[in-house]
Parts: sequence; structure tokens; C-alpha cells
Amino acid sequence: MSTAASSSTSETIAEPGLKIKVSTKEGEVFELDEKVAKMSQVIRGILEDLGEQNGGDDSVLPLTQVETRIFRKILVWLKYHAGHDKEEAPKAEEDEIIARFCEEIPEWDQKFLNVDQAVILEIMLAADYLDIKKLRGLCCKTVANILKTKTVEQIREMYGIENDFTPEEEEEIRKQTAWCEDEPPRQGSNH
Amino acid sequence: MEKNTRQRRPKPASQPSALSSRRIKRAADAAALDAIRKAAAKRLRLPPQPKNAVHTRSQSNVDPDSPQGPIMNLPNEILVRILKMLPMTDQRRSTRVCKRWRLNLNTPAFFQKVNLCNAASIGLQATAKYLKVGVNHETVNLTFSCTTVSPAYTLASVAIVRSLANRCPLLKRLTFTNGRLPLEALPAIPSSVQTLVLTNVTLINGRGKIFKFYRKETGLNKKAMKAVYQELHRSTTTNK
Repeated sequence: MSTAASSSTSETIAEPGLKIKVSTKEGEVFELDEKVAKMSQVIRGILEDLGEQNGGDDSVLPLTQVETRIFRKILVWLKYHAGHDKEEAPKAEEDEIIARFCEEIPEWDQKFLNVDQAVILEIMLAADYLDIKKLRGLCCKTVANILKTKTVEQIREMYGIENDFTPEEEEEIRKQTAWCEDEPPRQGSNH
Repeated sequence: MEKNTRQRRPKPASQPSALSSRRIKRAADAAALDAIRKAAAKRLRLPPQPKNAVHTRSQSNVDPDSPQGPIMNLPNEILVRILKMLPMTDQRRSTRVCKRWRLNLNTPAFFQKVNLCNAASIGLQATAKYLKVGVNHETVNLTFSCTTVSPAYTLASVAIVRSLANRCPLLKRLTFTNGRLPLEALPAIPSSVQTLVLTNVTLINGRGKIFKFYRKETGLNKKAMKAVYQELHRSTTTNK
């Protein structure tokens, strides 16, 4: 709504020619546009730190925790959003924008994460490592949306989680949470 | 200071030469690379390894080949991020899954920020029950957030704010982010609250009209709260 006004000031022009090289866990090197690379706050921070001493054009940032196959996925997401997102928001509004984005995940992003849950989790970890908050939030919300539809038993089964409560403990917790076990009242209002 | 670098906007015509000469000065030597690696190592801190007790315990029971296994390998911080995104009732329900989930869902920190987005759909009663679990006599700091703007939330927020007086005698700082706060909520704020923080919050007056929009984080002390309320109240009763 009213927040849109703040961000529509400039078009998205990539700086021509400026490329950032990064390498994945396996050592594969990728060349990214500066704009794309800087969507990772970690890479942005490094580049800013190095701004003065400068890295030289042959230097490669080693992203030792990210596997190539996951990085490829992330790159797709980054490139899409680099081209489609409005100018980045001021820090104060970042949380809100992410929250809103996660509340109603756009169709493109839904499709992007229409993959095996294990892959979503890996993307999530990599996004956390690279500090790409929006992508991390997107992954978290997507997993939460899956959890939401499952019973406790189904959640355990889905993730292979052992029920490590004693029957007594579980009964106790069941009592405590009885009020949220049933289908919650979905009527629009209660006043 | 961080702001300055942020605001730098690419100007294709004039900037590139300056930029590239700054960064791509001929110094791709070992020293520069070393600097990068050091900086990178510092920034790219290793993600927490799944080593804490609760963790390994459940992990040992997970079939390593199970494609879904990784959720138990997530650091607690990320697990919490996921669980936080569940509706309130589902969060409580999930305390039954296993001990690790329960621990993470029951920390005071977990309840420091409550997302009221689902308050309308689960109902006021359920919301109250949820708050009862973790918002209590020890709560000093509390944040409510809501990304969806709904009239139900607006009403709920008044009742919720009212309920805090008895529940949290030590509450010092109450924060609202994103959403609407109606006039009636202000006098309901417990007297123990010293600071009311509003970020991206719209105050609406008694006629449901937008009165004031706090985009930036704004802290109001008691005096300011009172002044705002009086102003709001006036705007409701006068100039029809």
C-alpha cells in the first residue's frame, strides 16, 4: 500500500561490466553482476570492506558452505529478483517488506520453491549463510505452510523425528494444547 | 554511515570508471586475495554445527537416507524461524512433536514477538490462551506485529492490550509493528509501560479514520502517549 511510494524513485540499471566472482564448495567459479551479488548482505559487506584495499579483478570470494547445485538455484532466484524487485528498501522497512512478502508469497516464488523439501531446507541454510533475508524468509514460510497442514504424527513421520516424550509427558502436553488441536473456528469474525 | 554506501546509486555514465579503478586497481596479488579470504572467513561464519545435546539425540534416530532428515539438522535458530511462521495454534500444537521442538517453542524469547496475523482467524479466545502460555509476569519487553490489515485485528488489539495489565505487571516496553492501532488501545496500555514503540503503525481515531502514521520507529513515553491520545480523542469528537 502506502510503502510503494518510497521505492519507485529509480529504475534498475545494473552497473555495466562490474562482475563479482565467487566459488562454491566444490570450487566452481561463478561470475555475478554486482547488483546480483550484493543481494547477499555477506558479499555486500565483504565488497564494502574491501572497497579501499580493493580485491583486484581476479579475486574470487570463496563461498565454502554452498554446494554448486544449491548455488545454481539461488542464482536463479537472485537474478529474477534483481530484475523484478524495486529499489532495495531502507533498513527500517526491510523486516516489514519481508514479512509481507512471506505472508503472500508471489506465484513465481511459489513455483521456484516447488521442489523437494530437503532442497528447500538446503536453500534456506545457504540463504542464511549468505544473509539473503528475503529468500531465507521465503523458505521458512514455505516449510511452515507445509507443517501447518500436518498432524503432529504426520510431522514426526515426515521428518523421521522420534517421539522422545514418555506417554505421561505426552498426555500432559496433549492436555495443555487441547485447545488448539481441533480445527480452529474459521468463521470470519467473533464479535 | 552505512546509509551512505547504500544510497550510492549506479550512474552508468560517470561512475563506472571511478568505481572500477577503485576496486579493480591492479592488485590481484596474493595479499589482496588473502585479505578477501580473511574477510570472507569472518563474514561467512560457519553455520552452527548440529552439536547440541537435544540435537544429536534426535539425529541419531533419524534415518540418514531419509530425504526429510535435514530438518533435524537445522540449527535451533533456523528451526525457530520456521516455527515462528506458523499460526499461533499450530505453534502450540507443535510442542508435542518432540523435546527439542518443545524447548524451542517455550523459551521466553519465543514469545517476545507475537505475530497477531492469525488472531482474527483463530479467534480472540484462542489468542488469549496463546498469550497466556508465554506472556506473563516475567515479560518486560513485548512486541506485537501484524502484516495483514484487518478490522478484526484492530478490535483484537484493544482486547489484547487490555489483558496485558493483569498478566504482565513488569511490562516496561510495548512495541507495535505493522498494522493499525485504534484509539481505544492507548488508555488500555498497562500503567507499568514506560515506552510505547510504534513502527509502521497507523493510529486510527474513534471514527475509524486514519489519524497518524508512524513509519519510522517512534518511541513514546507516558507523557507523549497521553498527548497523542488526547489529540486523537479530539479529532474523533470535533470537525465532523
